[in-house]
Amino acid sequence: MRVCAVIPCFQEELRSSSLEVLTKSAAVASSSSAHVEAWLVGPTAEKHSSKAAQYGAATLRLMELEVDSEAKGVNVSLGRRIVDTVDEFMTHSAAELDANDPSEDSTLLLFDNTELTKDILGACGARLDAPVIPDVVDLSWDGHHCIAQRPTYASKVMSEVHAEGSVILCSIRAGLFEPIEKPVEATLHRYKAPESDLLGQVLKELVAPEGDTVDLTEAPIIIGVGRGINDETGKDLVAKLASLIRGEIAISRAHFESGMYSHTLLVGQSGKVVAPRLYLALGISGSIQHVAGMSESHTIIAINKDPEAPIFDLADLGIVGDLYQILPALIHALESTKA
Amino acid sequence: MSQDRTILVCAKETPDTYSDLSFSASGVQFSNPRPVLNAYDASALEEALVLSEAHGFRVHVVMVGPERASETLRKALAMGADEATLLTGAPKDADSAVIAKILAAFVQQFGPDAVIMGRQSQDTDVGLAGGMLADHLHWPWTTNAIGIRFEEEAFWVKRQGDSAQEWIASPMPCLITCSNNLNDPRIPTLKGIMASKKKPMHLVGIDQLPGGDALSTLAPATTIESLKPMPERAAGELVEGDLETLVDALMKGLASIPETGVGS
Repeated sequence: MRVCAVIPCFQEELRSSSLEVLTKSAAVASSSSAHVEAWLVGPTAEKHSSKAAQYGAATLRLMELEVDSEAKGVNVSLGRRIVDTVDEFMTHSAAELDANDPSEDSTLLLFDNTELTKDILGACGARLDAPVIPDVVDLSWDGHHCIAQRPTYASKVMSEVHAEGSVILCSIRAGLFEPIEKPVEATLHRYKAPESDLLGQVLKELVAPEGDTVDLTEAPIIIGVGRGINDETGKDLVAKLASLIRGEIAISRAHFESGMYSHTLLVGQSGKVVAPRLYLALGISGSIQHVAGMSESHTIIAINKDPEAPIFDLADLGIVGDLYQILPALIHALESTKA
Repeated sequence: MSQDRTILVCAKETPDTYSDLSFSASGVQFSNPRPVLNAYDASALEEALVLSEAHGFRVHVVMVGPERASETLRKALAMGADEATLLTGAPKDADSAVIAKILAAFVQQFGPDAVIMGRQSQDTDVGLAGGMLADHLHWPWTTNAIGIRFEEEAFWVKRQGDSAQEWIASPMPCLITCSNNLNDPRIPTLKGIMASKKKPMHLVGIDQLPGGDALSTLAPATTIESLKPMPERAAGELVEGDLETLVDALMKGLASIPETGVGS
């Protein structure tokens, strides 16, 4: 039995969502007496291998791939090849496991829940003909059955999903599992990259508008900006606040249409799903669609002038008032404590 | 113009998840009992219709569902699709993997130039069927489209990624899944509704598809065992008052989160 953390490797540092996947893999493995593997795929696989061992992976499988440097994290260069690699690793390592102990022949594959993974998770499941449970907030596994909890119906309903099989795939929502170090001695297997077949797809352009360099799912502090911020003055105040509390800016659907911010920053059912340490909601009413993207945040603080705003139903701290008065005063207070 | 070319839109009907929800012994109930066309699939259909208007594709909508679902499919025809197929006889508790296998059999028989569908369904938010279908077909695919163009005999898709947007061109045939931020789906006009009654709607049992015997007996490998209310967040404090009180409360709140660096 083994739990395998599938880790896309294309950045300088391993993403915190990847550390969470490793941590969760180690936790699930220890409760089912399984072995932990890390499957590192991408141009920086070698570089991240020691970190994977530091977080509990005793077997490291490395697929170091050359990808177009312009387009490191995108479907056409990396994603497609993760599907091929997962397939190849299953084939190779299944033979290995059979030889040692056939009873060990069951595998749980854990993925993060980034857009990169969402793009390929279905294809991985189809390729392995194995059940897939995406976006889980908790799971248990006994070698053949997986029981997972996942929010559904725009985060109004928790579904318990069961899967059965000798291979099962799950992706876990980012921000919910504290990364915990668990250093182990690891054995390393290097694999030769298979011929890549991109099926004729071509990356024509990578569009990274200003403010688009942030990966919101990785941010510990997120400032959600809603309809209550509606002009450049408000935008400047938010930017200043963000720099003072080390926050990253996200938006609700209202600003998807306003054009004031990049579309990449959308949080909600149809945008990013985040679970930061702090979600500071500014002028966000709390529509179902937005809440679905942030209701798992550890702490929620909301400022809204409407005391009846639904966002207050889930805020740990709700502040009723006018943002255009509160933000300048708050910024002033923050600056004086730092001075 | 490519009048002979077809875009196939794969659609699903879902409960109206934006109506009020209540829990009962048999699961969840919505205040609007009528199923709706999944919002993400409606965006996919809208985009297919726009591409059709500009480039002359035929638009065919396919859905796996019970006979009753033909009502929802009729709405897709009223929006402007040319033709529809309802695939009946799927297991009632079919999961994405089962649906993808059924759709793969239909697509192989039908042979469209592109498949466009929602990136997920608005009830379960699973989002796997597109990738599964593409892998079965061995077609190039692009997910989470926020823009689509047809150029140089290829589909150009603007995909929203983790921290940037990518324009990816795929040759035909290809598969695209859509964000519902792509467009605002049109509301059927009275004329559209009248016209939809004369448009062809085919009811096909999945046992009539290639490999149909196996399809009818597919068992889902994932099952939903229970649906429960989300754990309630503990009721928080609501602060009203003068500016000083409000800022004071905020400063304390921010200082309680070490990552903000406030008060350290």
